[in-house]
Amino acid sequence: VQALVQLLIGGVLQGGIYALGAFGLSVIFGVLRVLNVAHGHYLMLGGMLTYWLYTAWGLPPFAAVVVVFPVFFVGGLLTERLLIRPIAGMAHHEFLVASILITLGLALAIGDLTAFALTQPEKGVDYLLPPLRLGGVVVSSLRLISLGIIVTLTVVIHAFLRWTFVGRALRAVMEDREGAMLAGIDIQRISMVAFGLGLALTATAGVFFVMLTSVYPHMGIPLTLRYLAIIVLGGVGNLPGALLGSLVLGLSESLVSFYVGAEWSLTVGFLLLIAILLLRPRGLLG
Amino acid sequence: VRRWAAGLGLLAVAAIAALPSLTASTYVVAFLYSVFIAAILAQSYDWVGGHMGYLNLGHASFFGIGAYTFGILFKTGQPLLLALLAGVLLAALFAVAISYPFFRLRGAYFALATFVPTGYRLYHAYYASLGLLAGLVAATAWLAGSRLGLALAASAAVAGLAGGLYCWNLTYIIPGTVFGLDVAVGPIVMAMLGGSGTIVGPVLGALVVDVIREALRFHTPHLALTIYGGMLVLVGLFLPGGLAEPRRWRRLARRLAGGER
Repeated sequence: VQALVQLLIGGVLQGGIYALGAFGLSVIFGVLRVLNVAHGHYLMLGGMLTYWLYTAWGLPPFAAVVVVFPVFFVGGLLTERLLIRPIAGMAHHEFLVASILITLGLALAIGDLTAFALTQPEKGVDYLLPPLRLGGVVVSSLRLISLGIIVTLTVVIHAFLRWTFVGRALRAVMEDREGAMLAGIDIQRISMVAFGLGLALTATAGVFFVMLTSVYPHMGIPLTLRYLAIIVLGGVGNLPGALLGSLVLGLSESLVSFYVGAEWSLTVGFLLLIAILLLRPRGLLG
Repeated sequence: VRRWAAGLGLLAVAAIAALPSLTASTYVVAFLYSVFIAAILAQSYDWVGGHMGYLNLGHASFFGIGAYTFGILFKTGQPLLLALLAGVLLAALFAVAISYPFFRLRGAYFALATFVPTGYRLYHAYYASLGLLAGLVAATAWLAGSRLGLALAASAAVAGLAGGLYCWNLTYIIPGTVFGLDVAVGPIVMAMLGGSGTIVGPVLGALVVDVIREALRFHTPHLALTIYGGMLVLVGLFLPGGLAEPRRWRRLARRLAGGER
């Protein structure tokens, strides 16, 4: 029981961490039709910033969320303005090619520059809290607090999308771009917000990554692919789907690496994805 | 014009074919060999990726299947041609098998699903793909007649051949090199950089990318990827149709000269 509870908590937590980034990727794709290849690299940068705040300023990792989120929100606004806006007028296929070249180029440059700047590229934060005892089961309080923050963030984002004007405009653009434009929604502004939100979310996931495992410069692209798997699993442009997909992948990874072997966790995750796509070609909730 | 192009192409092929007897440098030959492999991959990727508009992130898996099939058969003493052929067939079969479920998916779904077979463990990745293949072949072989299925099978066969050829020159292969991300992303970048959906674009892209990589490796061992990435960004911003599209060049020149938008 002890092991299973640990595995389930670990799986749900991993799923929650995935969900932040996958959610961000899904929002960016839904609003801008850009597959942000550099998405995983921003998670890594978020983790690096957390590490730096902790070692240089003594800021506890949980508090780093308050810095990381706005910093990368602004970073996202700038990235959209400088790199995506100029190509927004292109024809469909050209836009697809250009957006992939640009975000891939950005990803390679970010990874390479980070590796170049650090003498010891793999970073982790040793931040420990006494474990909790619930009944007969020992649970890491670090993981529980992380999970709490992630759940809170998810609820806040949900409320933002549901009840604020910008949030509703964002959903409208995802659902029907032309319709939203006709209704007078400023697509350029919404696009900037979507990119900012997407990067802020994935960078925030980096805070938990650096605390619970570690981050390193070239982790980005495999991570982006995992995010991509998640949003396809849940249904592209479908935000609750991204959450569900994250939980499925997080749990399957956690269970498979314990019962079968860590090297199989990715394979099983992807086989699961194929199986689900064969049954439901538009994703779980698509 | 077409006859001119064909004549020029033949001339170029003859010149390149004669090159190994003219130069004593194995470096040049080895380098060109790697360009060929890359160009074959980029070109065969583009049959599906450029001409039919599907972003196939799994092209590397065909390459990997070809490489592994060849490697295993050749090492156990089978004749060279048989080993190459087996690699080609297996890659094509695999493509036929996956074409039925995957072409039902569109856009990003397809891009993602095709990435799946790319693994990283030596025999694991190979047998995982093979197992998937066996399960799907029986149910889906009849779909080979579809246009998309055929294109993917042909594209996969060529990639499988490239895999076999690539493996031939090496004493060992590891999944990281034949199933890896570099192989998955490389052909796409090359095709896009050169001009996806054009005839010579992918070959041009492969040549440009390989020359640049090699040059960067020599001159700036440290920030090579940063420069390479920066170039991709610039091409995306200013030449999204690829290098092989003259209209874009003209427009770019006009923009730089006149400052007109």
